[in-house]
Amino acid sequence: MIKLLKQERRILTDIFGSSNGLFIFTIHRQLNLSPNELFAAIEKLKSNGLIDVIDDRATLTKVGAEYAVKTSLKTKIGHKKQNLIKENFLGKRININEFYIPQKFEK
Amino acid sequence: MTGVKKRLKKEDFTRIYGLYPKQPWLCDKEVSLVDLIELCETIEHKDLIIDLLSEFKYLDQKVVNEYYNFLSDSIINDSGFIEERTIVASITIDDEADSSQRVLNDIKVHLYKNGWHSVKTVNRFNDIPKNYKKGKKQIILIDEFIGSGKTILGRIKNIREWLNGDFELKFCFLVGMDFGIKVVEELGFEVYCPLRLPKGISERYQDASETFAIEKMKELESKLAQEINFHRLETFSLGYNNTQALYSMEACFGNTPNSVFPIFWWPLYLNNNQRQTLLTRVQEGL
Repeated sequence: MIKLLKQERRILTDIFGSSNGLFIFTIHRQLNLSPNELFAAIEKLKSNGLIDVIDDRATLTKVGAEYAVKTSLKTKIGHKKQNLIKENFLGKRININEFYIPQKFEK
Repeated sequence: MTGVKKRLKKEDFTRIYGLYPKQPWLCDKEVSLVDLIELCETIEHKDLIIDLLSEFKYLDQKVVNEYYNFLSDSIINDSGFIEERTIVASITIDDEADSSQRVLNDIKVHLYKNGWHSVKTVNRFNDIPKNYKKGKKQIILIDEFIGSGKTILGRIKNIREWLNGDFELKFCFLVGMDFGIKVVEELGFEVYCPLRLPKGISERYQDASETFAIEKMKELESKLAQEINFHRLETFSLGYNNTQALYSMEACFGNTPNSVFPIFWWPLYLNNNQRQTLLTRVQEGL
């Protein structure tokens, strides 16, 4: 996997989350990167074949989209379980093939 | 300092970002670049600055080495001069260290590599007659940059007075203004120069747009301190002798010539506050 800096990954995921790519200026505004920082990041993403830039609009290549998906999943897995599942949904851990009754039926 | 954290207007961002692919050296000078763009009151000012910067020749070490190779090859193979009869001399007259001596010292190595192992170099212009008397009648004068050519005309006059006609004289410059080089060539002297530059405005804009661009540049210059110690900005307006040069060397590798538009190197604003300039010129009193 290509090693990217945090801001480069952020650019990828932001473009991934847009419907038709992002203008470079929009990325500058969204991520508050200086033109110089943005230029370096965009050139690196381009040279690694992760994005294309046409008429100031950056779009993901197929490789870039795959990378964004993996990066995005990795980020979610990285969260602590407690932060993802609310307390009232946490119940007794059940064994495999054990019968259970959904909580609502118990009331 | 390399990056600007403040939010830029879209038009400014687009102009600055658009310069980087062509002029990557500006990436490291973003704070100065943004200051310069913000000094511009109108779109016309901004467009002029961006256009001049996009044409700028900012030489790095690699390119300079190629130029040295070109010059040493020209001296050895094209000049027709014979090593034993030749001196390669700087144009330095006073006792102040200058780029002519640096270029002379640098080219010595390239000449050696290319086969001239014992050519005589002279790092003080005034020592040329002394070496001439020893039979060195083929003279190469060398400098980093030729602007309007006035300095070189002065040196030609000196040599003619000293040597009574029995000499051959040729010139080497790393970079030069095309009009300045032609002044020397029209006198019948051969000039070797790998990079010949047009005037930044007058030889790139035509008619009304030339007048307009010069007017805009003078408006920008009016935002700078008009005098620093004994130096008047007027003297350097559009570059010394109206040279309009767009050239400098990588940081710490060369002093920006005074032939370059002062908007890129003049160190004080009109209110005498210090500017963070794109280029640096080291000159006594500035």
